[in-house]
Amino acid sequence: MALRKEKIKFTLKRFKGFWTQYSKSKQGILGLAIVIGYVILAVIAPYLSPYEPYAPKLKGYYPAGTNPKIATYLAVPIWYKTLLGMKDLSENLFPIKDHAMSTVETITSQWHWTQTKGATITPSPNKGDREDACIEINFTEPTTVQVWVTFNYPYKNSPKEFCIHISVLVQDKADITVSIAKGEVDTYTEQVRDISSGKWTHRFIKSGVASPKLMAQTFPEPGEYSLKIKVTSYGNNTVRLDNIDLLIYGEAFGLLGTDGNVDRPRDIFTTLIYGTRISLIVGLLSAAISTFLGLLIGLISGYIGGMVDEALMRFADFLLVLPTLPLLIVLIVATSATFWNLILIISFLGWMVFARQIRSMVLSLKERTFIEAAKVSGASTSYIISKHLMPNVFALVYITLATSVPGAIITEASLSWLGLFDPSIVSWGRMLNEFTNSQAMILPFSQYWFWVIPPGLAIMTLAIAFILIGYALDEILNPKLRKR
Amino acid sequence: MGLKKFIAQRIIYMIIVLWLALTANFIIFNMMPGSPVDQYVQKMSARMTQERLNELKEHFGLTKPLHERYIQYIWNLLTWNFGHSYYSGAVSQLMADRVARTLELMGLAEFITIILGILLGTIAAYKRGSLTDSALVLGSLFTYSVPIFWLGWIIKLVFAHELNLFPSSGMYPEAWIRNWPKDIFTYMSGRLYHLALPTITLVLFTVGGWILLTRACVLENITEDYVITARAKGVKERTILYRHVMKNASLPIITSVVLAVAGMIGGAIITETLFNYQGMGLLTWKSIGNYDIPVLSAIFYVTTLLTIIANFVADLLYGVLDPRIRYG
Repeated sequence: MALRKEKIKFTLKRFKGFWTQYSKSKQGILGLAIVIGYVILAVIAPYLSPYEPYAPKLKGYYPAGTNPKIATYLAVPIWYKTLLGMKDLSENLFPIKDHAMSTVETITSQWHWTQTKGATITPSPNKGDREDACIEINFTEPTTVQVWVTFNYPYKNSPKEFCIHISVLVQDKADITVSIAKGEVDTYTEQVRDISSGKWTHRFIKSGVASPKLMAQTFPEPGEYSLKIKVTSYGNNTVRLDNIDLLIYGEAFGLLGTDGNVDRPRDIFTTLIYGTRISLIVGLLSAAISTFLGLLIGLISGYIGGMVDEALMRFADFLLVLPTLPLLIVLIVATSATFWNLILIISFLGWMVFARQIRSMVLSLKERTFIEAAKVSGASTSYIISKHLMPNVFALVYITLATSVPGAIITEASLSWLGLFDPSIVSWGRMLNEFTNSQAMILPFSQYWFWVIPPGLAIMTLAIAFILIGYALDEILNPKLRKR
Repeated sequence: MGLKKFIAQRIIYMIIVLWLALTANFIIFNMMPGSPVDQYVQKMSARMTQERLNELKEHFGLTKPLHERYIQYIWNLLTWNFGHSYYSGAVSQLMADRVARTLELMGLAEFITIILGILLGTIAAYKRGSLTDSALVLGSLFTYSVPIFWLGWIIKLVFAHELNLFPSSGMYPEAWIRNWPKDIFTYMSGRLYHLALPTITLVLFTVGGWILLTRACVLENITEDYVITARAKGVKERTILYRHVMKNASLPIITSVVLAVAGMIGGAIITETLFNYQGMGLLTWKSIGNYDIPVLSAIFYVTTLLTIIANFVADLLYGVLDPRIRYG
């Protein structure tokens, strides 16, 4: 036990000594700080952003189809409004609270109606499509009624698009129109189509994405607006309305805007911080695996020598003479681009140079007297390799670990940029791939920069951080450079 | 061991490595999802009859058993008979065009990079510890960390789209398609105009490595005793640097130059894709996408062979340039 304690003490002391040296290197500290920052981002990503990185949807109950998108595509960052003084930019506005109408209270607190002759409108507590609350209209004669909700649209600019969700159930034939009105004037009207009688019909009514004219018409200026549902019945009838929602998508959204996927734009900030995880895992794991392989092969090849050495080194030569990037691509295409394949293939093609380095170190160490002594006293090959050779080459392992991370990160990014990404993952390289394949390039730079610049900078800073760490480690641990 | 024995041994090694590489290529290409035959059939079946398809398979030698195809494959490559691309004619013709274009691009880029890298690297080493040195080293490390596709894209954006100084893609002015220029000067200027952006991208991307390599090699020598002796004798600093230090430091640099020159033929997949430059890199990328195995085999064979030969030449050069080195 005492021995073990001593050992731990010794290790601690050595680490302290190393740390005092390391902390003197400004570059090393900077690199370490950046890496730690990224690691924290990667770990707490789910707490920093409520959205999903891959295909984000609004939460809530939307039975008409998949849940709507979180924002419009290529929305600009929200801080444009404050920092750049573009106060007029519109933001997302979801004016209806509890659109699923779960209780009568939420209905009565925001929905309005006037009682008309021949129709009674009541909020019902349990006749909704999920046995929750809904608005029920009982007609006794042909007439038209209207229910509406009012809201304030505070932005000077018109929104980019909007989307209305509605669920209706009609006993008999009825016409239902949805409209947005400024004051008394309807600025947008649309009929709910193909309503089947006797069962719930769920519909999305979407404004379409590229219709600035329609937007300017619907929301011409800030002020009080209302969402109206007009129901016309031709006789005795019961109509129930449920899940009415209005989603107004503004021009500005999120810390870094949204990307250019028209159908399901991603929040760039979210994708970016989740991408940190992928780059870190790919970089660290590939570096670890390739360094381990290199160490193992170098030690074995150098110490055992003979045919084993010959075979291993010819194998390394053969991997080195093949063109690296084409080989990587071909291997990934051949084995399909999944996350783990990427890591394994990147590491499989990254150990050769390090193995050679270790081998040549071992070749010279092997001739030293302490190895002879160990051999004479009967130490086994595995003992000599692990207890005598390994500690002597381990400084190089740390350096190589740090310096091979950036290569792996950049390789992964490049492969993703070429289109070889795991389809279930959005990495930084893939963000850039999607940009390159989109039509955004024809737009002015100011409309899409937040889609291209951040991932590139992220790749660069993370890679630089590891390079700086490797550089600092090299100065401390490399016996050649060590200052005497 | 004499030089002759060394060369003989190295040639045997080269043959083994080449054979390994070719075999590995054959395995990988036949491993690609659904095998080349299926891929090819799948792509073509919509457009042709069964008889024509069988005829084609026969033509590309896809009907034979695997081991026969393997022998055929090795034999074809060794005799430089690359066969036909699945999609666009003879592989050798296809490659000849691309190789010329790629060599233009890579040659220009490598030339600038190597000159610039050696120059800056020497300056950095000579002024070691100064601000210039740290700036150059940090700058070089920086180029290691930038993804080339992103850097290239930014260059493209700034110089082609915003400033409109250079074309963003392609290889020559579109007007040339009908009216190919006859005088060499117009040709050169038109080509250079289109080569500018990919070349700048490649230079920026690779120059850092050369700076660091040269700096390390020069630094290793500049602190040697013979330099102190030379200084003590009163030899001019310039003479010390160029006559003594550079001579000793040039060995690893020359090796790298030889390898880089051999590597040029492979082209630059990412840069060529980014600037839509029809060179070997783009051909490689497109052939992978098309599962065009004959083209890929030929590309891999040529690049591998050249790298192996370059390694051999570099080893020999080492001995020629540095009489201290004995083979064996």
